[in-house]
Amino acid sequence: MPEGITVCLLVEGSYPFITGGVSAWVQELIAALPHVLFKLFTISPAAKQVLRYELPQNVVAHRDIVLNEKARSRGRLAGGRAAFVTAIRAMHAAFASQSDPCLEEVVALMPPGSFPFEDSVREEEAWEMIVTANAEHNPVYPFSEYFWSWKSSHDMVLRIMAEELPEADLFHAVCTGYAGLAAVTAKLRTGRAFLLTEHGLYHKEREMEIKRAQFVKGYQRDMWIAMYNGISRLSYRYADVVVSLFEQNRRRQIEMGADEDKATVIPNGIDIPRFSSIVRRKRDGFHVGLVGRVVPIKDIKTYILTAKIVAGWIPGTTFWCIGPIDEDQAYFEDCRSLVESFQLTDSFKFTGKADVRSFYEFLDVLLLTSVREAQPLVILEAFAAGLPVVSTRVGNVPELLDYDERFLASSKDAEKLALAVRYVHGHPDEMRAVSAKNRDKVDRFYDKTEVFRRYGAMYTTLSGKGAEWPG
Amino acid sequence: MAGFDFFRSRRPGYQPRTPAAALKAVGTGTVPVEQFVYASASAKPLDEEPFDLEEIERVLARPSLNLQSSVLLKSVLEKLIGSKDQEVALFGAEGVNALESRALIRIEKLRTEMKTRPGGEVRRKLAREFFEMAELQAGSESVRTFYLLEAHTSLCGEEGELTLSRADLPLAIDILVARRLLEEADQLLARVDDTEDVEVQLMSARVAFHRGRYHSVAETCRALAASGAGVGEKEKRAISFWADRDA
Repeated sequence: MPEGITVCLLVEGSYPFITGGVSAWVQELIAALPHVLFKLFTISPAAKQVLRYELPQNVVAHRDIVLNEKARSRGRLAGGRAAFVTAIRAMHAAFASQSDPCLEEVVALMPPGSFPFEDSVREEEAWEMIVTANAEHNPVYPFSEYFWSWKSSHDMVLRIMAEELPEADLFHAVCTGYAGLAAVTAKLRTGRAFLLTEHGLYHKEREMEIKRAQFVKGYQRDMWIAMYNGISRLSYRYADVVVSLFEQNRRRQIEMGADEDKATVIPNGIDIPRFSSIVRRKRDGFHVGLVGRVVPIKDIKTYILTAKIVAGWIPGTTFWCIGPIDEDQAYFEDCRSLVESFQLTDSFKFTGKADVRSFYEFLDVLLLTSVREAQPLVILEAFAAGLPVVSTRVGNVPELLDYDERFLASSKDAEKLALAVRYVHGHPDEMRAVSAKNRDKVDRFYDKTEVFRRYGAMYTTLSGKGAEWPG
Repeated sequence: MAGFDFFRSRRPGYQPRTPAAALKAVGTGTVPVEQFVYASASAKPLDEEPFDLEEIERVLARPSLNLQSSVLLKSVLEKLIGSKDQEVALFGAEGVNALESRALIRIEKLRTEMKTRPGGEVRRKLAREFFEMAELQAGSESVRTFYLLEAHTSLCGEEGELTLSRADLPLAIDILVARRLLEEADQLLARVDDTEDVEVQLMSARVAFHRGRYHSVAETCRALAASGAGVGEKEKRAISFWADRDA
């Protein structure tokens, strides 16, 4: 029996406290590799959150830290405050010149447990660094605004870097950001491997949030965006393997500093038999379904508008909105009123949380109206169940749909989506052929078992333990 | 003036991005006055292609946008959605969502407030929010109609226009004109007792304009011009335009 592998899994703002795509993936990964011991290190915005997942038995430890919470320093900086500030300054200079910053020196000077929250501003050189940066970037607005932004961003970074991570054979971060930074630090301290998996692109998601936020103003926006780009670049640079879900994101990771030879694609996978075993039963009428939460990112209003157009063209169509309705009450109310106003109450159904398989039995087409997706599992599920799919052109969807413009539309283009649904309705024979091709594609590329087998193999290689992979 | 060659020789450092920031920076001696001239003179309209994404982001991040700015911004964001660059398209779609979500949050807040303070002011604000949401839906007539109906119901309640106060009138006319219920708008205005009310006369002229009754518009404007009624600059220009028309 080979020696077991222990993986420290670093997760930020999701598993096991928040449900969603990444969380579900983490849960499945852990469950799929029962011979691997997992130590969870999670980074949360608030303390004492309720667990939304039952942790599998091979999770042997779980430590949650709150990003904004100050920890009590248990150690002192090696080499003193001045040397530390000099190293930080060199790192800033590297970021500013777009060259690769070296974190080795900063980490070497910062033993685990030494939280230099105050040192970073009390040292004369540090103070001068802040004043100089303010003069350069923010000279006409109050210094206090700049100072506190600088301080809070650095406090969070230092909080993460000073944390002592659980002992493990390798560190696997499920995003860049603070989780990735913690993994970089752990790698530099222990010499153990760092595996990075990104479902979306963390820095792009943060950038989008910051740009939309009304409370982050002027230079502060640039500063936060630059910081998130910076820490993502660190993850890409130091990771031993960088995994993305699809090629387009892999290219972006390489643009941000990931080594081309270390960047690889492992797509999402599904439990194929769970969906391919569904027996399709034709129901009277035509049935369109959207599987997703009722939240703005899924753009349910565009679905409703599409429904209104399709209802005019194909009488007797029923529209199913299959997913939780309680995540954004105001949005759900607005959608519900819109359905009423369009006089679709009899034909448009909000199911709430439900077992999607019972709907895949009779749906004639799956419609996705999201404005943002990475690699939507619902499309793979629909493919496995034998359903045609119509979707907005987001994330990896065009590739999944073979760039077939008959089934793709721009976000919010209800008319084009409706035309695509009408096409599906009008070409049942062709749809059978398309569905067979899609099912074959899922079989070949998106089998969950194969996806997690690849992770198991990577764990074996990166841990250097050479444990055999069962099967 | 040192001239504009400083752009070629300038060192890295603070670069104000908006005319307001540049003016402030000139005041503190951080940048030369040319920087302000450049920032203010080279401003290009938000809806002019190729789009200036940074400027669009800045406008989108502003906490209080008026209706006209929101409508303009949304039209630009909708054009971005069609971009071949997925990231730009995503920015457009999320920008539209952000604009609508903000309005929805305000609507939800007012709905909650209505439960405890169901007075005229809150009701009017709620109706105004729905009306502005409708104006944002220029691309989709059915969604626009939906929000106009919501605005109408919020303002008038179950009883219809009979319960409306004088303070409700401008918004009620806005909604009726937007719904092309011009006969109803005329009837509503006819119920106002004060025939000397300048604002009501202007509303009447507006409804007449939408009904194609230009003679009536000119007549009302001439009467207003003759009376020297106190009105704003915008109205003054309209009155003078119509008053000078031949009958």
